[in-house]
Amino acid sequence: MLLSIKFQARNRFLERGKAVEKCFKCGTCALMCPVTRYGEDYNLRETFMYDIFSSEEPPAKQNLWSCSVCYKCYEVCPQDVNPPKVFKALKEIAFETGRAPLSVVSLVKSVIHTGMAFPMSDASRRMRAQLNLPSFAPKDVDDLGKIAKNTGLEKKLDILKAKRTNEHE
Amino acid sequence: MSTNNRYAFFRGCLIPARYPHFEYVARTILPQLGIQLLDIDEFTCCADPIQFRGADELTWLAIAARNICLAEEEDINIVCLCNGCINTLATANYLLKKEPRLRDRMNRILADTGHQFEGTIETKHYLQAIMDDIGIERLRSYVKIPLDGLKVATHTGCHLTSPQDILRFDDPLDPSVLDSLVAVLGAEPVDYDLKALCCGVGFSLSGQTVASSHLLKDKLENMRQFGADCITVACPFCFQQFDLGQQTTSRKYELDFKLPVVDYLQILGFAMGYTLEEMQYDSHRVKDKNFESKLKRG
Ligand code: SF4
Ligand code: SF4
Repeated sequence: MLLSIKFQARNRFLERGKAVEKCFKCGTCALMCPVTRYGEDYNLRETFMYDIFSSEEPPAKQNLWSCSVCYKCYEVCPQDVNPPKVFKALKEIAFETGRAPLSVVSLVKSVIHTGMAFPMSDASRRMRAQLNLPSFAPKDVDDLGKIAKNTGLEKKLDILKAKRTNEHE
Repeated sequence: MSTNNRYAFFRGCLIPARYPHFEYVARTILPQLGIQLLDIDEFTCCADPIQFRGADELTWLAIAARNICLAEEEDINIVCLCNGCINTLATANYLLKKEPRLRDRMNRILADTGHQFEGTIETKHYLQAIMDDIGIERLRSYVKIPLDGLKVATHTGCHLTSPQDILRFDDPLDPSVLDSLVAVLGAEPVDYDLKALCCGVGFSLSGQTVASSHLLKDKLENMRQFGADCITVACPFCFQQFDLGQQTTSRKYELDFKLPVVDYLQILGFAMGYTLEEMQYDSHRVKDKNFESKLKRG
């Protein structure tokens, strides 16, 4: 492996995305990656992927959340490395440990509590009425609460909440 | 008309909550093509394949599975209007059909909700439904007023094409299906270089507005360079990037042109004889006289 992984939780990282070991740093993925091409911090040599993969604490990097999960890197990689899959593993760790952006946490909560990621605005409500569209308010949303309980998400959210309250005290 | 397929109508949440006019256009156009829409009030957000999936994949999968179950219980396939929705639904359906152990685990998670994943239906984006049920050749018969002289830059978007083995719609690196669908309407798809480049939604979601505008500038200029009069998308997130994002980008980079953005169902509607107003063009931010004059009917 040519990538130097300094990340302390290296083994946990590799467990979730073993394919990253096959990366030979050819840079093909970077040619199609929107984050490498347009993200402020990167050029085609210093790519988004190397940055995340070689960072000491990748889950702490807010850049992790800029990935569009567009899979272009996955489609072009000659080594079948699946970067978005590894990023996903890192994002999950970031989320569990309270290092995901607040916007992500509130999106997750909004989906679980209302069944919608985006709240209905008054303008949209008026427009829906004007266009004679049927109402939109997902039914049986408490199903999602049951799901969150069974997957362990509810517990993760409780821990995050407790952590945040402690930090504020 | 030989096709008459009923589908569970998966509206997602960005469209009903922010762009209801696309829901209106879908309800106007799709049934005329024989794609009948059944509303299921229990459908929730898909959930999204970028942020929610990143935060908690198991819950993401369970929410998608529950949505699929609702259509299974009606014994009909799902049709949706958004690349994010189809990416989530198709991926979940694929994984849960393929991996029995994952399905068992999922059904234990779903047990309290009374739903169980059986793996009996298919999930489709409306472009897939049009290709599968009608096909390019038969679509031609719906064209009343060919869109002669209109040059269109298509943006298929990433999440409808990748991963290719799951979505099975088009080549993610060189997409051409949407071009064929535009060409059959009499319009001319332009073969611009940056066609496969992502719309940059990841930047907007993560608040990186500078990067988002920079990407959009390159992509818009490239479309223009190849002569485009407008952009066609098939996803509300891509739409938001190109429409709302174009306003910001134009101001920042002082672009001297405008490229109105229309959903494929709108441009299909124009070819079927609907007016700009009827296809809710007024709800869009970016408007352009040149584009409008090409759609004026004499
Ligand atoms: S294309 Fe694959 S092997 Fe090459 S640098 Fe990217 S991830 Fe590594
Ligand atoms: S999936 Fe993420 S890392 Fe890969 S090309 Fe797209 S934005 Fe870049």
